[in-house]
Amino acid sequence: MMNTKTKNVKIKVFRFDPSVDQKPYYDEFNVPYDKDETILAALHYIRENFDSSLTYRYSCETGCCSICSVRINGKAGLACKVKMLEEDIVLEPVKKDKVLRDLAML
Amino acid sequence: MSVKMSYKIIETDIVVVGSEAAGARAAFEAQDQGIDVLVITKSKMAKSAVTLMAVATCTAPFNEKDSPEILLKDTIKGGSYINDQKLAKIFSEEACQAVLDYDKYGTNFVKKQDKYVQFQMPGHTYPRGCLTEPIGTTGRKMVRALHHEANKRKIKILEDTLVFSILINNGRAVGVLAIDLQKTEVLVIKAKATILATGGGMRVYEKNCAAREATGDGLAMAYRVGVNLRDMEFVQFFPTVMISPKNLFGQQGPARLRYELNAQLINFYGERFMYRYDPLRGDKSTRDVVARGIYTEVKEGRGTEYGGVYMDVSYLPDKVINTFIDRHYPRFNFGGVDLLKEGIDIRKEPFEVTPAVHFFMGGIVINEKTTTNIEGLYACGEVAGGVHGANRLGGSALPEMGVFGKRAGKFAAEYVKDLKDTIEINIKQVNKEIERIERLFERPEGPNVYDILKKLQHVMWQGAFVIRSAQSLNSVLSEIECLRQEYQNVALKSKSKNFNLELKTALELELMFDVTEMIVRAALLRTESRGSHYREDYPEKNDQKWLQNIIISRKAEGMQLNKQPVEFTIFKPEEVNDEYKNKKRKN
Ligand SMILES: Cc1cc2nc3c(=O)[nH]c(=O)nc-3n(C[C@H](O)[C@H](O)[C@H](O)COP(=O)(O)OP(=O)(O)OC[C@H]3O[C@@H](n4cnc5c(N)ncnc54)[C@H](O)[C@@H]3O)c2cc1C
Ligand code: FES
Repeated sequence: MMNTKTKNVKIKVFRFDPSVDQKPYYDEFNVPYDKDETILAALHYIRENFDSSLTYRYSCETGCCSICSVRINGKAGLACKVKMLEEDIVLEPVKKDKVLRDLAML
Repeated sequence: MSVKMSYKIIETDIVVVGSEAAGARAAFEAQDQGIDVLVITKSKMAKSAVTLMAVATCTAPFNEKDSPEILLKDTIKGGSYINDQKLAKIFSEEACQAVLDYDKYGTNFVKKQDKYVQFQMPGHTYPRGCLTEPIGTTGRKMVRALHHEANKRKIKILEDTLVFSILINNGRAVGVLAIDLQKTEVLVIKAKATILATGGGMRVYEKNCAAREATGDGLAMAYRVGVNLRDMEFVQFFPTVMISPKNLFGQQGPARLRYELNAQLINFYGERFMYRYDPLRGDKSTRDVVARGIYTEVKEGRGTEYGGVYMDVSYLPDKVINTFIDRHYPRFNFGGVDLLKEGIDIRKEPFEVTPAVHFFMGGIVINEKTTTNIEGLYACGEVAGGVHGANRLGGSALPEMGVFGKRAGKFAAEYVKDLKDTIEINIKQVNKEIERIERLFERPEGPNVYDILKKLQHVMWQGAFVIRSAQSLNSVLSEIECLRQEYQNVALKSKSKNFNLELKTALELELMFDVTEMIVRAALLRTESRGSHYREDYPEKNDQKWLQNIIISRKAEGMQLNKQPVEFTIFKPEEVNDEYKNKKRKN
């Protein structure tokens, strides 16, 4: 559960649904910053509060399965392990040519 | 907008739903019998589900002093005498072979001079837990080995494919209905035998330490076609998993400090609250009491920021902590959880813990051949019930998956070989099920599926977790009903047919309502406390009345619950109990 703190962080997320979009684009969301929360928790927050169609993979949520890999400000990492940053965050799929939808890869 | 969905028919001898420990093992065995098999997973093999999360051990009585009989007695005692003794006996006798099989596929359990290195887990008379290196990787190594073996054998696997219904014709299982999530294409899988290996339903609870896939789909799909289920009231929880920082949620390693280094449990007000619940043992009380203590503190508003309590060793001199850590957890690494690196210095500060749901003891009723009460339908692994009774011993799930996975593959293959007549699909059932999906796509707007899911998980946590009462359970039941109603109007924000995970969640959620209702109704009926099930209005175990299992089935008039006396085919409770009393005396 995301704690409501006053400070927000701007998260820019790569969006692409090859079945409808001509080309990828980015959506921006304001998510409350919490130093203890993870990138995955931020994605859940967006899905629950702003856009339930945001697509990303996750399973164990404890760093075991690696299915949640994403590019965080250009660097690949596990969304469930990397903590939220206090600065603007850009989230992209690890390999853009393997995108199934948004952050989820084949 | 009206969407008419077409479907594709795929034929196979055996369809196995679930690709991890139980499912993979079943598929290998069926293939060894020369039978065509198709495996389905709603995510990706070896990159999802619960098997890979197993951090500890895999039980097998290899020790010279040990025997299957002693493991059986430990299992029955651990299960508070309501296990299916026939299944527990098979489990005990075949556990060693299951470990050998996992090893043959390449799990690589640690050995010293040709013997497995074995850990002793609570409740086990002897060290029986096989494990891999580095510590904490047992499940991960296992799924990698199984995946490798599946590729080597060229087993057909459909990934990102959600099974949402079991196909029945003339009272017989004839396959499953699935959806290829990458294309939203409906697949009619026509099979002579169907094996369910879909795992447990821990995700119906808010705080759980299981993977996203553990939504209990197999339990509900089976219930819907008239399969009998048992012991659904028994949900195992871990008393103390880490809750903060969030990237460590669910980790259990550091919580060992409670009994290994006298860690204190402290609430928001700095009180050592455990003495209220167990004046003698306090923080060192048993798992159940600790879980109930923490849960009550949080519920009554004395919890920490993230809804847990503090676990603290910082009151000890640094020297004591350092010596202990050097000896047991060098560099503060608790089985892969590197606390210092995560910014937690236990010498200076506490960390937050909570109880969380861990395992489903209950499940589908099976016999020794893993057959259910529906012809052609088999179940194995965590989705099946009976082996562990009212509580499971540590390390005893993984061997169960191997033992009964293998049996499911073997007996389903034999059934297929003996089958004389052909099977037909009931197109009416297919069309009716497809309409459910079409409705989800057609509805322009309505409640958000993730919102309802979250509410359901929350009410289960509030009223049907470690402390239950008639009042709390009745209230959960009526909330489930309200949420079920709300679900009737649920709409998908995106109607895209491309990897629509909202659709996946919506189909799972529909099944989760049945899973939760089974848990709650069984918990209401069992007016006693036993194993993992605790009723604050009936806090005592009642052997006079409750050496019984609750069997759930679906009838025209709704969910039916029947009590069935335990059959003590091998041991009577007194026999097991007396032995442990003697043992204690001798010690
Ligand atoms: C954190 C944690 C640690 C554990 N540690 C241990 C341990 O140390 N020792 C031990 O013995 N046990 C341990 N357990 C328990 C043990 O890991 C599990 O009981 C066991 O792995 C379950 O195996 P399974 O094959 O039945 O199910 P899972 O591994 O959960 O696999 C289920 C499969 O079914 C698929 N599936 C489910 N529903 C559908 C559907 N509708 N359509 C298509 N596919 C579907 C999934 O995608 C997956 O492939 C642990 C459990 C947890 C949560
Ligand atoms: S969800 Fe499994 S590693 Fe992140």
